Amino acid sequence: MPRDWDELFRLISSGETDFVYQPPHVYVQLEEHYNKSELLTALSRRGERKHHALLIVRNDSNISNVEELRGKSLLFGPKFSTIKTVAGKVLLQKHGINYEKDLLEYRYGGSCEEVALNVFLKAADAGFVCDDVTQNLTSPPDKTWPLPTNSLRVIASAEECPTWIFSAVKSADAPTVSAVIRALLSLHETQNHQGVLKDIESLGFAPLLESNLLILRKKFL
Amino acid sequence: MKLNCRLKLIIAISLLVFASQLTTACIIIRQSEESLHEKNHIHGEELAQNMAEFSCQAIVSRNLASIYEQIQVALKYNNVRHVVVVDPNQKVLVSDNLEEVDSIYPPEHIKKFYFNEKLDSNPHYIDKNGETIAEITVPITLADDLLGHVILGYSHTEIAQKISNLNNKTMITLLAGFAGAFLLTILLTSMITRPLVQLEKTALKISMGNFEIEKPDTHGNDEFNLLSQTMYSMAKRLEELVYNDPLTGLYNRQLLNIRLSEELARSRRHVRPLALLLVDIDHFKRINDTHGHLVGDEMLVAITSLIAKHIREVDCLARFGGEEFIILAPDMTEMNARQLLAERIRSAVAKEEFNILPGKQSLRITISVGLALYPTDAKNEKELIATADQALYAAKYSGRNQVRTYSELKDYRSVP
Repeated sequence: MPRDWDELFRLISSGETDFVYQPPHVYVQLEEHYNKSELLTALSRRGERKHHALLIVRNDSNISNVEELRGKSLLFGPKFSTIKTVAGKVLLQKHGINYEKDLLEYRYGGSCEEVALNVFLKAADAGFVCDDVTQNLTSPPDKTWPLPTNSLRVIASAEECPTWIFSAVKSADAPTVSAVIRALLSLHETQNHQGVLKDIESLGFAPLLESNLLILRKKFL
Repeated sequence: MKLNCRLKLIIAISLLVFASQLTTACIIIRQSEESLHEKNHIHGEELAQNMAEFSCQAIVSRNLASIYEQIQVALKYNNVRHVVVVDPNQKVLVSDNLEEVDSIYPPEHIKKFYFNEKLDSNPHYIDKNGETIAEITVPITLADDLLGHVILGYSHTEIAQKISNLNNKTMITLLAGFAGAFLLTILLTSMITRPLVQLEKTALKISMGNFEIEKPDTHGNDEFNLLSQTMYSMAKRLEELVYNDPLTGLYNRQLLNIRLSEELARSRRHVRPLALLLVDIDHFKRINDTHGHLVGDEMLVAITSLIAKHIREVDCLARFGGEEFIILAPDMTEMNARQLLAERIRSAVAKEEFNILPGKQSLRITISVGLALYPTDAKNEKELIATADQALYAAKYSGRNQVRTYSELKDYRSVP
């Protein structure tokens, strides 16, 4: 787990790592280092190759659209999150909000649950969460979701992005890469792999579709 | 109900042991209770203090979600029932129950606080589940600024359960200990009071005229043992006074009656004859009148001593009256009783020179003997003595210094 961008770049350049699991916008910036024929994408919890972020506020909040975030506090996702941070910033930009200047405050949050909790607890006025928490907001939540139903509401959705990408660096041993790719493709939630998949909030792996990357390149970079 | 000494001792010692055990158990339970409360209280305070320090950082960095996560960790401790972080105005910032966020603490259902100094100094309330909850409040401060409070509610249920278990175990131990102590008390009391009980039995026997008592153990030297030995000596002395003639040392009439009854019973049981010889010293009055009563007494002693030499071990010699003696001779036919016993004694006395007078002067004396046999001559004790008396009278009448049997009188009387 690299501490920052520089360390990740160093690990790849020096050949200290053969595989990288990263957010898509990170992949796009480093793709020249990867073997493009061996790319996988982690399926979202809904089993899709793409997902997006939701901008949430407390249900009793007087914020009803993105523009009303001016002068308010906002929680992005983790700094390297494509959908909750990169796409979130793009969403603000589209609505004419400069997150550096127009907000009272912005911070980088943690998991979707943490962001949602902080919004609910009024530690922030709004925050970005993954789209797969939608059902927890309106219908009876799953056991791990702490918030009461209908305590938060969605005021906007960010652009769709590919899910996390698993790639092998060019210098990696081909047979090893093939074996790892086969192993990852065989992971399935219904089998005994739930433990592995739960940690990465995924239903399994699937080959990456180049078309999804095109969207990312076109809209964010 | 009359309680004897042993029972009183057992009850007294048992009550004493039970009271002492109960007191000890109460003290142990009380101390354990206090210790458990203190331990729980300290643990709760430490937890609340840690929460306060953590909350301070979280409030400053405005990451209240991390407080919620920390609360979830705290709730995993057995006794922690709720954790709430409030601002200085008691408005709930974070709570284990997110429904309470933004409300004013305490909520309606736990507003009835009470204090129980026996438990600890914290306010308490009974929650919806009936559990006793103690509240620990720790301020959240940054420098001198008050940011809020951490309110931690911990349950006394586990302590109550532990105390209940302790009570049960203590009660079982107490009962087992008491049962053991009770048995030990019985054993010890029995050991201690055994000589006393023995004394009581001995005294009872003596009071009923039974002097056949066991000789006490002479090895012990405690008070009871000494008392037993003294009582034995007293009983033996009393027996002598009651049953023995003080002059001759022979059985007196009272014991003679007892022995006669016993011998008759034995004779009946074994269908064996019993001979009764009534011996009277001839002209004994003359000795008294001539030589004085002291010489008379000496004569009585000398004669009884002589008679005693001629009777068997199984025979019984008793003083019947002034100068009259009775010999009970079991398992003897009339002929044997006459020849081997009565005549031999009479002859021995008649031949004896009694040196009881001052100087070299000796005294000679004779005796007359009346003999009767059970069951041929009599049916009971009274008749047996009466028939022997009649035979003695006949011996006297016939000139003294002779033996007469009742059967001879019968034969004589039966002659037309």
